[in-house]
Amino acid sequence: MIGISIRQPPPDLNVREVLCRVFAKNSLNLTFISAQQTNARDDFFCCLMAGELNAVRKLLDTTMPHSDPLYRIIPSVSLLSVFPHQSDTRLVYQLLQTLWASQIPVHAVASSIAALTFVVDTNRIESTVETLEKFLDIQAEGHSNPKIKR
Amino acid sequence: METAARYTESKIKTYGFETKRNLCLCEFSLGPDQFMQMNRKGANLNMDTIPFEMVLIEPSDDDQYRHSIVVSNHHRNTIGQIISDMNPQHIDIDIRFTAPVELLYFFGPHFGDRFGIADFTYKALAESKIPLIASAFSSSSIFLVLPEHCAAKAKTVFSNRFEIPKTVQCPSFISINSRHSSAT
Repeated sequence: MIGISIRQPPPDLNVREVLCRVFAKNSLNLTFISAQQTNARDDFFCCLMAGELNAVRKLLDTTMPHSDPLYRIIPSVSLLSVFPHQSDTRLVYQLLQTLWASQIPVHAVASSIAALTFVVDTNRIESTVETLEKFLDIQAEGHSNPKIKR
Repeated sequence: METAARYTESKIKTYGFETKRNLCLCEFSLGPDQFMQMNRKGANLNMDTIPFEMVLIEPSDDDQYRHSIVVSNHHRNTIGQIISDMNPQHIDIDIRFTAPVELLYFFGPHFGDRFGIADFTYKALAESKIPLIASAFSSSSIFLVLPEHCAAKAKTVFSNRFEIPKTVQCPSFISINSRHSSAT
């Protein structure tokens, strides 16, 4: 997948709605979105299939025709989900700390009903799993609740 | 060779909507270096006293990450205190609280597999003039952080636009077994 990060676009651009409309019209599936809108900031991050890179770049340039691109494309990202998160705030920050300590860039994190999804570089996905496996006590079946190793 | 499949349906299916009220959105910016400094003191262990309802973390500017955590509003003071306590070197952290906020979340069988669901969701909110504070689409689910009194309104809007399968009152295999039972 590719990741698209848009930071603080002009408020009148309404980037979240505009981009999702453009992607839908072009049959582009978004596999991950995190968006935050406040009076102070308007940030948007999404993931799409990597095969769509050229089409996406054209659409972004058409939608946001600025001399300095408002967007940043991360060429190869993957989603890694840890579940169930059990609403454990400590787990979130322990995992994040573990990844940061291993110099693994994290492009976004979002929770869902049961899973905590990390967006990481595809070329680091194996090392990300290895790092988290060292930290988490995951049973052989892989279906148990992730517990932090003591 | 890569094969791509696209799934479409006339009305997007979901398994129903859940709402949570009286929540607090806590936002702060913190970089990995700052966080590691803080965490060496182990203060974030206190975080396990506060269950989250939703978490969003993204890099922002200047090697900072923007953290958005939705928790029950009665944890508001506690989470603020924990973040402050995590701060042994008195790093300047701007913690912003928005409360009360509400959460509307739902998931569907094809979320993440087909295009247009985000557009459909955002469009429905915009047409109904329902403001949106934050949103996350991952693992076939959609989480929306809304201002107070907006979750119920959004739920009504979505209920009319998404398809919610009706509860099966009497599955067919039970009927068949019953008929067999009565025949014997």
